[in-house]
Amino acid sequence: MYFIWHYKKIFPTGLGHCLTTLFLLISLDVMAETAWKSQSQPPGLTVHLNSLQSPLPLNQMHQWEIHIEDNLGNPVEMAEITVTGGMPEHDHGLATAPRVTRSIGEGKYLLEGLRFHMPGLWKLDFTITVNNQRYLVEQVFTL
Amino acid sequence: MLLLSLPVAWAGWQYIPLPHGNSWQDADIAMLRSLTLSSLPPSPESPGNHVADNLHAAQFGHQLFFDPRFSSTGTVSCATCHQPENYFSDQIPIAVGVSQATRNTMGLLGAAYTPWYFWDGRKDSLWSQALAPIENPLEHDSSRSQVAHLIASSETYRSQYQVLFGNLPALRDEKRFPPDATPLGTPEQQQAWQSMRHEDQLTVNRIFANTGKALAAYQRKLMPGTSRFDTFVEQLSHGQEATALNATEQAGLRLFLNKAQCINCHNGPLFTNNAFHNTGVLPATGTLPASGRSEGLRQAQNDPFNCLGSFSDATPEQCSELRFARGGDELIGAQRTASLRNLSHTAPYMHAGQIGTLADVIEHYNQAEESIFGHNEAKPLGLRAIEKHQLQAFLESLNGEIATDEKWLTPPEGSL
Repeated sequence: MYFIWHYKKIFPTGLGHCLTTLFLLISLDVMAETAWKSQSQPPGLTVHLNSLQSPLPLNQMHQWEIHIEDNLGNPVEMAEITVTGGMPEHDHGLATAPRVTRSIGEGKYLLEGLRFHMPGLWKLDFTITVNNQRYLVEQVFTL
Repeated sequence: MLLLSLPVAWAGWQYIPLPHGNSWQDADIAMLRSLTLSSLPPSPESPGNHVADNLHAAQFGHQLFFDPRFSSTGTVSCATCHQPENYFSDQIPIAVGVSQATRNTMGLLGAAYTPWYFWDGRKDSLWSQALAPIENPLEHDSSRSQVAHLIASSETYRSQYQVLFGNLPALRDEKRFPPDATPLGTPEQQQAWQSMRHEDQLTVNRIFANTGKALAAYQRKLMPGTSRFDTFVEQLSHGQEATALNATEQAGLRLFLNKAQCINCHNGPLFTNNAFHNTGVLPATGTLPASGRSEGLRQAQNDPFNCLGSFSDATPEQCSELRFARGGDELIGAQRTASLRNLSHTAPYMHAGQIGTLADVIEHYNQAEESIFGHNEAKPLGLRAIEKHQLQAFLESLNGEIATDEKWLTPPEGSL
């Protein structure tokens, strides 16, 4: 936000608005490709998914970070997370069997072993168990 | 009149090319650039093989590759099926070593770039892959102890081996080191193997694994060269008149990217995602359907020569492909996506050479019939006759020379 405000300060005219819009569009585009925020079902958790490689690579093994918060924005520790998924349009699952290998603190977890081997629509399904309560998060994205 | 006009209209629909713009948009060009050899990164590291990029290892491997003594008949070398003059394939449906094998020979150009080897991915490194044909009774029909004895008894090989891998025991005691022993062979070979002490088995396994590592160092040098397609994309990228592909081939390229959906699996500079797909290819006549990757992964996971095994130079963290590999019933009948570069030189096609021509391969994907074993991922394409012709014309533009120094393409001087 500071960045946008800063731009407006330097360019208070239409040019400034144009640059701001351009900046937002670029940001949203990058965000749309590698980072997502989702609410769980049932509600209770906010899950931030973030690919550690940007843009999202085709045919390369890479890692994501999963950041889990409760309704109050507190980090959720000791979550058990499993991941499945695939390409609904091709009726097949993931090329790999990704899994969370460790907690990295402050409600963040490292997801390893992701490799998307085809361009197109992908769907990942996260099952997150916290204190014996099971939550589901579905994330759809296009590569 | 109606009866006459319908066939004419059908023929017109099948054979008249649809007009399309001559121009390629920036987004198209960006996609096309991702398919060119100029986008190919340096060979990926091979953490399981510490001599993967060692020149002396490549020279040693070069000699091993062309040496027919690594076979029971003294007539079969790696180059028997992986023929340099045929783009390291052999132009026959099913490979023939000491007798007929069961699979079509895969070409070796760009072999350094895939994380999985064989059609069913039963090996997870180039060095480990190189070991399997040597012990396959239909291919080299040799054994790991024969390999170890040959390396140890040849002065040339022995000295090269020791420079790369350290001390090599003499193996002269035939009771400790039987001349023909392997845990995978005939009952006699297995019995000989079982008679060995565990540490002597380890010695032989280590020599065998190192032989594979030298062979891999050589094969990592085998690379495909640029094709007319690569030149075409270079021309487009530099704003030049793009003449390297004619109108028919360019129409085929558009089909490749869109209607024919080839790009889904044949992507990247080598035109392969190196993944496994069941595309409903019928088994070779008189054979059972192949179980494909579902069985291949199980074998790779249980292979003592895999990335996590004690003969690998990798740390477990470097074995992510193996650690996070996915198998299961969904991969029944799934075979590895082959590269499309130099297709004209590598017919026939598919894992058992079932399809003889490119035209028939295109028709196979156009029909996309139900798989008789497992699930066919492909869907019918509805390509018209002219479109099939255009697609084939484009695929034939992917031919090029071998981009490897000539000296690696013939037997080394002084070899047998």
